[in-house]
Amino acid sequence: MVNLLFYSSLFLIWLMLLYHMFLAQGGYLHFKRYLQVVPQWEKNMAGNVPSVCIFIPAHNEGVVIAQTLKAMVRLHYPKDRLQVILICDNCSDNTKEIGERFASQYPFVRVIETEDPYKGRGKSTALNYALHNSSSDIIAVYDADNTPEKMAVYNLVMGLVNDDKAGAMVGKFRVINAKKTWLTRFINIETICFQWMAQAGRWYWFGVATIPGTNFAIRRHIIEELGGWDESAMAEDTELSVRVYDLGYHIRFFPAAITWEQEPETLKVWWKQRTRWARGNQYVVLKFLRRWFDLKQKRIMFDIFYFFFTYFLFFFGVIVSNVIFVVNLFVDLQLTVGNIALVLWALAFLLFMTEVMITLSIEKDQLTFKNIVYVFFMYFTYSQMWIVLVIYSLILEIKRVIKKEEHTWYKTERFPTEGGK
Amino acid sequence: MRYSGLICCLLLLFCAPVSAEPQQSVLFVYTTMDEGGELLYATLTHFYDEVEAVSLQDIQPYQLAEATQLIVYGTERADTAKLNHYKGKLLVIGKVAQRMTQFQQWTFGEDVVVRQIGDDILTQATTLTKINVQNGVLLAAQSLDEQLPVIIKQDDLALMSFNTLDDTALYYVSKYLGTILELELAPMHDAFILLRDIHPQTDPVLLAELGHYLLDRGIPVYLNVTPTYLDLVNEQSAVLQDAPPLLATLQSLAERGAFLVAGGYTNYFALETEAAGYEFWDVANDAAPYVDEQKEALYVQDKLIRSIHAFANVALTPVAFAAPQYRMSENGYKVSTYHYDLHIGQLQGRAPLFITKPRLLYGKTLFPDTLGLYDPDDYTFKQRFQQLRMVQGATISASYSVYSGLAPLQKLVALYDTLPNKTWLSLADWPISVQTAEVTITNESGTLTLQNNISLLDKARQLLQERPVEFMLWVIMIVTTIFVCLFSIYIVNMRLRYRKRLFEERDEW
Repeated sequence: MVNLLFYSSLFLIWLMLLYHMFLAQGGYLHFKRYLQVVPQWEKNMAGNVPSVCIFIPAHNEGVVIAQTLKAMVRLHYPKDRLQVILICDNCSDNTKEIGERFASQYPFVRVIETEDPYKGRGKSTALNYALHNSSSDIIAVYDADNTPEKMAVYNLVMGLVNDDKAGAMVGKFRVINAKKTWLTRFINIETICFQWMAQAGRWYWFGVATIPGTNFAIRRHIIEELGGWDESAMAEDTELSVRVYDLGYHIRFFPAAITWEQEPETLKVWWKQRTRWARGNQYVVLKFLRRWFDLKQKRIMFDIFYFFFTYFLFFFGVIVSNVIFVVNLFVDLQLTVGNIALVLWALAFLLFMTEVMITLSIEKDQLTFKNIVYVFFMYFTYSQMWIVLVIYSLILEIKRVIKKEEHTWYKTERFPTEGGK
Repeated sequence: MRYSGLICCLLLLFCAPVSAEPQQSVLFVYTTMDEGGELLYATLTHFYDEVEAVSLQDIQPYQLAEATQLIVYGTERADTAKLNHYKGKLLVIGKVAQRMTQFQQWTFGEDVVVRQIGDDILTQATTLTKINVQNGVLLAAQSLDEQLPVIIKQDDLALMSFNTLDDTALYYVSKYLGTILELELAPMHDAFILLRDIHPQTDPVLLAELGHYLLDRGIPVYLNVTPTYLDLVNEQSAVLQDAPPLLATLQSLAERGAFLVAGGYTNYFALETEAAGYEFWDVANDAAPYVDEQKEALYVQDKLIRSIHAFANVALTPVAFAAPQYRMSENGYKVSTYHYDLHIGQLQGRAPLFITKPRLLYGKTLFPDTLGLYDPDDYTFKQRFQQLRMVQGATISASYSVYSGLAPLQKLVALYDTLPNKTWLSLADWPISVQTAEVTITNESGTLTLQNNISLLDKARQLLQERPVEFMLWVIMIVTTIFVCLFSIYIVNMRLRYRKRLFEERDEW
């Protein structure tokens, strides 16, 4: 029985590792090729610039919003075709005042305040409020702590103009406070890895990407057709991604559109944020897994199954194998797998190192000795923390479902930042 | 004068016989080639280099004309008119003699139950035919009230009056055959001990203890090994590679001169505990594994090839084959002869008492297990031992389970020590040939050599069939290693092109 459990967990883990290996290869190839379309895209964009509304949902973002708006006003996009809407949602600090100060200087900047029944009900509701109080061809969304690069919005829109089948364009996000703490260093590596492996790899091989919640642009008619954002979803970005695909469009990953965002600097904030993400993704997985036969675009089910596999099977496999490993230190479980297990463990580690290092080498000045050391320790620390977090979030989600509770929106705490890259 | 002398020499040269000794032409005629007939034929191959066998139905006059020694076997009376004119040396075994004209002077009566033959009290009574002869009785049996001639020889005519060639009859036939055929027999007994029940789960320490004990006493060790072990209870299997200590023990014993005797491949045909050991026999139905002979042949061949390859892949060299539980069909034995020249054990649970070339083995050599499995508490084992030493030239051999430990083996060796005229059999003195399409084991060059041409693809295929989980793990390892190397190249390449990249991207966005 123990051997069966061990082999099962081994295969679950390696199925995931092999898939990510495959993704890493795709991500690398996407990096080599994604800019090849740009010359032609730029030609098509000339004289064909659609109108864009940038939504910035904000709840007490006084610490960071000024910097964000500064970046917005510096965007390289025709200002007569651009509107930046700061959505103040139940703010009790000076977010609104800061926004109004910018609005007074820049006519394309607008501040709106959510009203009942939209008020204080989270990001999705705030976005829906802005949706009903604006008009444009395209909507771009940025979190309140984001500072997009000058060409970010232009590149997102250029992608939508040139790719008719794209319902949304997703850019790349970088960590602005990467060097602040050991945690932000880990998160920085994680985000780089996620985007160049998961996003780029999935897009390259399967034409699939998911909206990360910020630095994306979507066609207005699509979001209107979908009825806006799901206000009950904790991971509204993932949930929206599935519905966009179900409508018959794809979501394109275009890493030329870059934004810089702030990441949690303390474990407590990190834990809360990631618990929300994990619970949100679990919610989405279970919501759409039941609708396998209903969904029009089956390739997005592949992605849903990927999330299901990650959150429910892969982590289960890791937990089981860790438990067996620890127990075997004290009690001889007579595992038959032999030394090949050790070799596989070593290979898994090497694979992890090389995959992450490829993604670091794609980003300028990220493949440093210090980062490599961090990657080494990340395997034994940060990666293992995720296991505990997933179990915790699963327990919370099960409790919520049993008790039929509503989701409670947790707003990520912000930290003062010096800004820029 | 000189010319006449020369002519005389030339004449002498042409007239003188080519050979000083008469040529033996031995003909074995049978009414039915049953189990007894096979054993009898096999026994004859011990005494003669060539024995021609033909059924009574098919015999031709010229065959009789050429035969210098005719041996006729038949447990029932039959029409023997074809044999009536034979005038050479004749030996008949069984009731078939009763209608032969050569025996018309003898009187045959009814069958009688006997419990003693010679000085031996039989463990089981047997039935013999009453014969009325005046002289030449070499062996008589004792019924309740009279003596019955059993083996009679009168000049060139001889009769062994056994109604069936069971183990008792075979014993006496083997004992007196040399005398009847007037052959000079070797005074020594060939002896060997076959250690059995060796497989990947065997205790290597115990095996080493037994093996080195025998080798230290100058006794060649025969190791009957099955390369795969199936645990039906826990649904696990193990191969030799899973047991490195056992492998090391086998290799160390082989280096000291131990002989590896291949058993089956997994020791099972039907995956039932009761069928343990019967790999080439359907013990539940007491029949060959498959009714379809071609299917059976493919099955046997597949198992034998896998077995040989399993040994070759760990650099072990089997030199002979012993059918598991000594049970195989005629078809199965035939297939085994394609791969092994030397065989050890019994044929369908019975063995001749000598080293022979049975018909079932198509001219290959059988080293018989004449005593069977040693059990120190079994008095009949010692009884058989004592009986065999009375048969000149008989092979006195036993099998011994390694599970029994050292103490009983010491008793067995002590029993052999009471036999002064024995030679411990060494297969190194025999031509060894074990082969498949990819593997060859021979001792042609004087030492045992292994040629292993199993391709990597074949090894992979075998691994996939036997241990699919391990195969998958290997695939994962290889694929991952390739990707790790590939990714490392990408990283180095990116690092080397870093400055160039910075320069190119400077003007882009």
